[in-house]
Amino acid sequence: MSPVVAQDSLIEAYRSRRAELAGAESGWVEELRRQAAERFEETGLPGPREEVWRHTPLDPIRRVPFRPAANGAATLPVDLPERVGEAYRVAVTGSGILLDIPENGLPRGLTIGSLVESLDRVKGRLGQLADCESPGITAVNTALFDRGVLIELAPHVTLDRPVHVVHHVESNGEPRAAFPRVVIVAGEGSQGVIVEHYRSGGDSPTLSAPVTEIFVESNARLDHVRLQEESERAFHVGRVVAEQRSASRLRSWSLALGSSLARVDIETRLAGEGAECSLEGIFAGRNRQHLDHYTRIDHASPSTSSRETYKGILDDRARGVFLGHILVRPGAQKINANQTSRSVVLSRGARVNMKPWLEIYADDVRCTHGTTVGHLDDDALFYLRSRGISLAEARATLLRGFAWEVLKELPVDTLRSRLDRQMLMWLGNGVAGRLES
Amino acid sequence: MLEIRNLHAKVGGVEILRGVDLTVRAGEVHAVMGPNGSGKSTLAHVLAGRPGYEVTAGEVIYENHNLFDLAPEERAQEGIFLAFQYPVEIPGVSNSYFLRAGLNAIRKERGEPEIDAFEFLALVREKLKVVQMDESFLNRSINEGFSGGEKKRNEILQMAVLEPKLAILDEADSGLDVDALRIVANGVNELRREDRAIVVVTHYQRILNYLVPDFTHILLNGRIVKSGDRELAKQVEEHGYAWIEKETAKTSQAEGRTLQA
Repeated sequence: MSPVVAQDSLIEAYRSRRAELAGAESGWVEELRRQAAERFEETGLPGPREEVWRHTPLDPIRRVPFRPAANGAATLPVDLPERVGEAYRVAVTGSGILLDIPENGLPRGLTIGSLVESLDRVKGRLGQLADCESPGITAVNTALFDRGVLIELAPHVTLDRPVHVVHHVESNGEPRAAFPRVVIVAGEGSQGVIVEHYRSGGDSPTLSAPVTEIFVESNARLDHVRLQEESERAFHVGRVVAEQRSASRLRSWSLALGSSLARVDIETRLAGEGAECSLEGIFAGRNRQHLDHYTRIDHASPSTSSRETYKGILDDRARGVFLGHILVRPGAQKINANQTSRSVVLSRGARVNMKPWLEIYADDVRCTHGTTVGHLDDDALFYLRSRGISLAEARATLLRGFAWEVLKELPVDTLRSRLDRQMLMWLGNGVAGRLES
Repeated sequence: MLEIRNLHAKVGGVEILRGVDLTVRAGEVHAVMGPNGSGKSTLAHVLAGRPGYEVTAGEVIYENHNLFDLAPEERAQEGIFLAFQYPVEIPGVSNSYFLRAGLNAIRKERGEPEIDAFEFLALVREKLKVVQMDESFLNRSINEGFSGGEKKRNEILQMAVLEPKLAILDEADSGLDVDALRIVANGVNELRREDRAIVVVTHYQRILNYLVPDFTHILLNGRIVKSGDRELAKQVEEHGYAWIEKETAKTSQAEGRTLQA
């Protein structure tokens, strides 16, 4: 089998469908797609020679003849996940979006639209943050995106509920790939919470390769939660790129729980003075799951601050990867950056690679980082057991506590408690005791 | 209730306990005293079942059970409680979850129904008074950011909630100022009962001023070398451990001579 099967198949799809792809009639979109397709043809999927892809070979994806997912009927997936926090819910499908919102509609100042039908509105934004130059899936997503959503918060609007975006890819009989594209604009001084929720189904391999671009204007406060719960037949390679104006705050959570091979890039550029971000994440893998996060915080302006906490939980033969890149540009003084990454390895076959990557070109910088990898704390286990708590429950409790440090500030109550319960049950019954030495 | 016979135990390959004998009956308070390194904490942890402590000889009978047949959680479910010298901090797990999970595990073993959140809150509010703790401690992560005194009080709170038959207090007074010591000791005093035994493991006598033992034992080099009543504890306070060490040395020399002869 040729190692470029996926690439050939996708380029072929671009060639045969380019005239029908959304935006084909507007010159700038067509040009954007054409350049992206060229770039993808040139570079293909990123390989291990790229430093930031070193620990995550995409061969399992490369070998599969993926074709873009069909423009399915405009129906909500049958098993739509529970609504998070009475949210404004939107399902992204191959033929548009479906809104599930209260009868009185969306509040003033909130726009939710199908991206492929709103291309005029995103001119000058689409592709501006997610460049096709960096190795990854941006090029193929830009060439082929066929679905997506535009979410706009007008200046000074505060959302009363979260927006819950459900991305669902389904594949039966043959491998399908989905290329969702999301543009989020948080206008000046606006506040809101957006949950992007990735799911998959069907009996065949799926590939999700979404790209989200987030514009956080001055003084805006945006919370972005990315929840990946795809099936074990899924591959997921996604990217989130944000740009933050002065005194804005972005809080990002990336929760990677599903899929057999998942890579997520979370990048933000602190482009205005006083901007701050917090990036948090959990990757919890078992069996042979491979879960990779690359984060990049670009301190491009003075007086910006960042805080980052990523936690890995790896069981069986799962593999976790975290590379946390912090860049402080020349002249960006008075910077605060704080990064922590911790992993718990629960079995002999599980592995994790975590690494901070600091690039600092200014001198008035306070930057701390710490990385730890370990097992569940024996002293803590004994302490719990000495109070009557079984070994299995003690282990579950410690894992839950470990994850809670990331979950505790999740801005959606129902989602937070659901995930908290899930982490408590994560080890499963009867599995918990087997590692006792 | 508890019968320790000729207990030998190793920690990290080193023999720490070298033949401990001790009998504790319901309703009694025993003080086990000894200098640093005499094996006090090891004895406490062996009784609670800490992994890594290897019992090499002897036996411990607790309420008709061979103690070493029971996992640590089973011992707790059967009514053994160890107040830790260094309580563990567990971020992300609330104190109230911890207390309730422990209590429910023990209730389940006793064949009682699980306690629900409301009943539990009512119960724990009463118990908080015993150690003069604030309700806010319930929602904090286990021992995280607690002062030394707060950690010790939290141990006694757990004892009050779990209502053990046999409580072992490992250096319950270490690092406490007089006020905190009094709170801890009085808390334990309130928990003294006819059907409950308490073993206080301590280097210093001062906690025994508040928590008066029925029996005092001196542990030296992994063996109980002298037993007495509360007066023995006072003698230790006045004269230290040296005189007992000398006395013991003489005795073992005498034993040695007898054996040679």
